Amino acid sequence: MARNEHRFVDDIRRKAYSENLPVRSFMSLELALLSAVALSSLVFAVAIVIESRRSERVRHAFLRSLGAPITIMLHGWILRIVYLIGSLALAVLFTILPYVLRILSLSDAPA
Amino acid sequence: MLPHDPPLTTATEHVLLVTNAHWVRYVPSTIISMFLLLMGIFFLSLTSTIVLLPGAATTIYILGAALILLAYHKFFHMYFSERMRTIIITDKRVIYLHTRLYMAAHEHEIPLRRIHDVSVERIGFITYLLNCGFICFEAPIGPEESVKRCIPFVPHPDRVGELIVGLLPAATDRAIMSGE
Repeated sequence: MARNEHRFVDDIRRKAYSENLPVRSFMSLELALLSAVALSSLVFAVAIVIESRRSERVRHAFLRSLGAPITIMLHGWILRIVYLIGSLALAVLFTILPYVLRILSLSDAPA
Repeated sequence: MLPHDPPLTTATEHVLLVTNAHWVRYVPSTIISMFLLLMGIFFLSLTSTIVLLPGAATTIYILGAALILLAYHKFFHMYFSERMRTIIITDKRVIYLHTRLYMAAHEHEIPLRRIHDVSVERIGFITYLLNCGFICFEAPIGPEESVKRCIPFVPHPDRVGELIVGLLPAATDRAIMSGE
C-alpha cells in the first residue's frame, strides 16, 4: 500500500518536472539570452540615471542664468537610488533565478 | 512660485513664473507601464500554473521577464523625463522646456512681442477637475498667416493665461520703444 502511494507521488512529481516547470527545459542559450537581457537593462538604468542628472544640471544652469530660483528635489535622488537598486534586483533575479531553479529542480527531481 | 509672487530681477529680464507641468502628465505612461507589468506577471504565472509544451513554456517565461523589465524601465524613463517639463514666464518671453531622455529635447521660446492671441483650452471633465489645461499662443508669420503653438499640462491655466495677457501690452510697448 505504502509502496503504491510512493509510486503515485513519484509519478506526479515526474510529470510535474517534465511538463510543468519551464526552467527545467531551459537550454544554455536561453539562459544566456535571459541573462543578457537582464544585464543590459541594468546598463540602461545606469545610463538613464546619468543622463537624467546631466539634463537636470543643464536645466539648473539655464534657470540660474535667468535668475530664477532652483529647488533641489530630494525625492529625485531618492527615486534614482530606488531605480538603481530595483534594476540591480531585477537583473539578479532574472539572471540567477533560472539557474537556481534549474539546479534545484535537477537535484530534487524524482529518480 | 505663483503668478502673484514678486518678480525676480535680473540684469536683462524679470522672471515672473517658474513652474513644472501638472502632475497629470505622469498618468498615461504610468497606466501603460502598469498594463505591461501585469502582462509580464500574467505570462510568468502562466508558465508555472498550467501545462504547456516545453518550448512554449520557455518562450513565455522569457517574454514575461522581458515585459516586466520593459514596464519597469519605461516607468522610470518616463518619470525622469517628465519631471524636466518646465514652464518659465519672463516679462519678455515664454519658455517651455521638455526633455525625453535619449530621445528628444525641446526648448520653445515664444517672445511676448510676437504673440497675437492667447487662449486657454481645457478638454474633458478631468482637466476641469484637476485644474490643468493647454495655453495656446497665436503669432502672425505673414500678412494673413499665423502660427499656433500650445503648451500642454499647464497647472492653473487661467491664472497663467491672465499673467501672460497682462504682459502683452507692456512687451509690445517695450518692443516699439527699442525699435524691434
